[in-house]
Amino acid sequence: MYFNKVQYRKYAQLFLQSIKAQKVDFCEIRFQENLIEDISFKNLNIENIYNIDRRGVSIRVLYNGNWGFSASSDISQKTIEDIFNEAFGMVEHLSEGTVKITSEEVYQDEDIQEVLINPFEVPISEKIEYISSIQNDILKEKNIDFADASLIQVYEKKLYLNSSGSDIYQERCRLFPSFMMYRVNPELTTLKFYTRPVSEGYEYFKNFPFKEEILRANENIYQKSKAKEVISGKYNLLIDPSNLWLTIHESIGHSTEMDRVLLYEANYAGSSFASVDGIGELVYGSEKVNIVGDRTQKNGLASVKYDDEGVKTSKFDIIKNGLLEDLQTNREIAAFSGRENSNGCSFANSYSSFPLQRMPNVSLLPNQTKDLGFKDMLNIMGDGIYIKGDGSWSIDMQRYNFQFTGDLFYEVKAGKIVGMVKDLSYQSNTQDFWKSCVEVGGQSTYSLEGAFNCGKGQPSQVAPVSHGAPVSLFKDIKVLNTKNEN
Amino acid sequence: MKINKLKQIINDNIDSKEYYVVMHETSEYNIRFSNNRVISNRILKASSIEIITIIDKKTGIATTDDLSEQSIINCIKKSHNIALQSEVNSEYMPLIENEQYDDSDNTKIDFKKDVSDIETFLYSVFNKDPELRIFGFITGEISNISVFNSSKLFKRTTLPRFSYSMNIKNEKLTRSVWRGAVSSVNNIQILKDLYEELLKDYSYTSIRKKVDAGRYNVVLSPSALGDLLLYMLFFLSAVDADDKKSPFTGLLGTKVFPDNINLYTDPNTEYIKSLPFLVANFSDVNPIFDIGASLSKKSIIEKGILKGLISTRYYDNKMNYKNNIFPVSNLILEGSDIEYNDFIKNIDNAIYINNLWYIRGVDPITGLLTGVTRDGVYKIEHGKIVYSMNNFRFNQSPLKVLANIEAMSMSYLSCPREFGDSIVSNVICPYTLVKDFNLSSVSKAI
Repeated sequence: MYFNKVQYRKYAQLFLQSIKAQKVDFCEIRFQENLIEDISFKNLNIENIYNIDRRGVSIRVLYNGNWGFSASSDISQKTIEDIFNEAFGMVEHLSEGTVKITSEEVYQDEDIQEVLINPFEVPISEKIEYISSIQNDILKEKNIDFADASLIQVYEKKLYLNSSGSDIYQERCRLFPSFMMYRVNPELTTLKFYTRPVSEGYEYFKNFPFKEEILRANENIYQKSKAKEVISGKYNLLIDPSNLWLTIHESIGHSTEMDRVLLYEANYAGSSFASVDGIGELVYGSEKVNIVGDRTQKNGLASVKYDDEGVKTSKFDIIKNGLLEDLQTNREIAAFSGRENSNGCSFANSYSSFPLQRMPNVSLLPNQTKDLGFKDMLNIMGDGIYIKGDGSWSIDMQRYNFQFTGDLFYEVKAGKIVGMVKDLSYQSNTQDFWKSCVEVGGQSTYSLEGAFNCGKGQPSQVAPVSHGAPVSLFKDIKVLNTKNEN
Repeated sequence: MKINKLKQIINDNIDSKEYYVVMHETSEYNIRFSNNRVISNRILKASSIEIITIIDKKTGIATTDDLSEQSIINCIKKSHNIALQSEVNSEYMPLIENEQYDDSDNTKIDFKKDVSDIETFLYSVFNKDPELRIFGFITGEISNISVFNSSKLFKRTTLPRFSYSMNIKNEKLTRSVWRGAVSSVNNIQILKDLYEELLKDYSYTSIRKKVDAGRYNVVLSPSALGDLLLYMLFFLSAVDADDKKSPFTGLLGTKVFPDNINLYTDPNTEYIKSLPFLVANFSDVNPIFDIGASLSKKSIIEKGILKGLISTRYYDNKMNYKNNIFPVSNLILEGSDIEYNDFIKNIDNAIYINNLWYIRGVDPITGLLTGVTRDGVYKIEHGKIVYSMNNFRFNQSPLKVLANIEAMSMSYLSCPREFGDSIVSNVICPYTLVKDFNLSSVSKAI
């Protein structure tokens, strides 16, 4: 069986023209297939090879101000009728609800992401051989005792039709190669490769400079294992995009989701310190801080031409010169807050998932006036710590108080790297942290990072999202020593 | 799809001599509400099969949600193709043979009645008190899980799970309380009781004081402790312990905690029905050749001694381990015989923590975790809750928590807020008085 979009479209069109579909105020049908393959290694041994084919159909109806949703893994004309009956059956007897949605433009379109090599067309044996050769090279290095590897590949197809007349077909490809190395003497030290999750084809993996990365890792893991413990206190931090992306994600990405602001996630993922009234007023950070939401960004994990409510995506300012400029919305959230249109931030991770307001690619813009390179940024900092790579992360339910670790921490004196420290986490509050951002690097220091697994919603869903940033400098941030818990 | 039909399709089409098949059939409903209104109503009836083909000790795993005959045949081919192209799995073990188990039943969810009862109740309390805003999530789920293999193993079970969570805030959003409950049977009374208990919790928040960060004696609710215990499972891999990658390295068979710490798993516990056989992967432990293995009562910590780590048949054979356990389907920390109310009456001075949230590992050697308190931090003085306070970030290892337990109530079926939402994460544990808990900074969040 395969994703038969021609047949599925016929099912949906026939149903949307039926009398039943006319009973509700709005109806949308989404056929979705997620092909997922994960090849994982422990040292030189294959741990597992999974191939998952998750395909099905869902219907969401809006009736008398209430959402009803039902889904099935069986796709047929009859199934569509059945799941409509279930979705409608849940809401037809409810008293009048308050859900409204914005009126949006209708599209008939098809958008298929261009990739050079579809990972699902590469023989598994070839992928195994390639990962195996990388693992072999890693484990030859004298400073590395163990190594884990994983290559997750996703190919997503979505056909979306709604009762307003939209008919949209889209395909997206995502890839996440990850490698973790361990040195266990004198005690456990870990290190990650700087492979990142991307919305690209297999070519990203093939073209990644593993030879250089392995040499770097071998040297860095040794230095890290010998590094001195950080002394708790306040430090200037120069933060690499490979670390800062996660801080952007947690402190800005989530806090500017309007569904959180409006308490939709209060029972689970949490709300936000931001408010609708704060738009144009709330100081998020220093004037250096300019943040955009962008689902049109090339290779962005959240990039797509139309969101899961048929709204065309765009690029929009979230924070401009430190001030809150806009929040992320879907059709329901936008209508609830009195807006005319959604800014295209709806996403459902599988056919069986109720679409939620999810994050676009949320990124910190590089310096627009000075093309400051990495060395310039070190010089501007003078003394402090340069943090590279992500680690542990945690933030409270209103996105105030957070704590992050990292992968590598370099001690910097008078603008020069003088050695490494370890066992470091930084702790701050979102607004305090971003107000302490005294400089951002130029385009040459910018990089797009991200995650496959941003969690939200009940039942919980994961979403892929990218975050770009330049190397950025923060003054007087509280640093903890994680060994002595202070 | 009837199981016999599935078996027939597999038998007719699979070429390999060794294979496993796991089938999940799920019916569920979810009701999500926010700010005194229902925001989504969802029904899902879905099935999936996972086919594990083993050819000359090489494995291939393919999963599909489409249970048409043609799709199953394609899934067989995919798993076969993966196995052919794979390499010998060094952890290969002969399949479990000839075991039979079936406690499946025809339990069905009465969607219409359940949803109607729940929503009638919710609408009766929404806006009842103009000061209160009610949020929450209710889900009912029946899962039928079947496992069979080429060596005449066949196991099947039905797992019903109903979970209820509710959060009440005031209109100004300066007060917030949360409770959750899980059960194997749906009963609207559970939701009604939850609401009444929440109103009592809400009354504790009428006075809110600012308290500084520091190390305190704390009372952890079963929800808060349950989340810490679930996270601790990640540290309990036998392989990681031997590879010096765990805080339990070198501690198997030694006394790590006080005498009163007894942590075990028991799929036959009376508290809630739990998986009686193995189907799931867990963290670094990869039990692919153990699928279908019977789960039984097993000790992890007994009288403070680390008795067993999480492992596989392969690894235990290789290392000659005798007491290790498979990935667990529940965790039970033995409590005392003191009921909650009496337990609190005996607390002289402590901070009560209702929930922990956003818990993440910080240091894999010490097991240090960080996270925040949420929806209910109260001061207990002379046996009574006297006021509520700000939230905190904590930095604390669950190993230190177990080591620092000074008193326990009886054990209760908990609803861990962060990690307790799946059928393999049931935790039964007591309210605990823990000394020297590190609340490292204040969080302004409410």
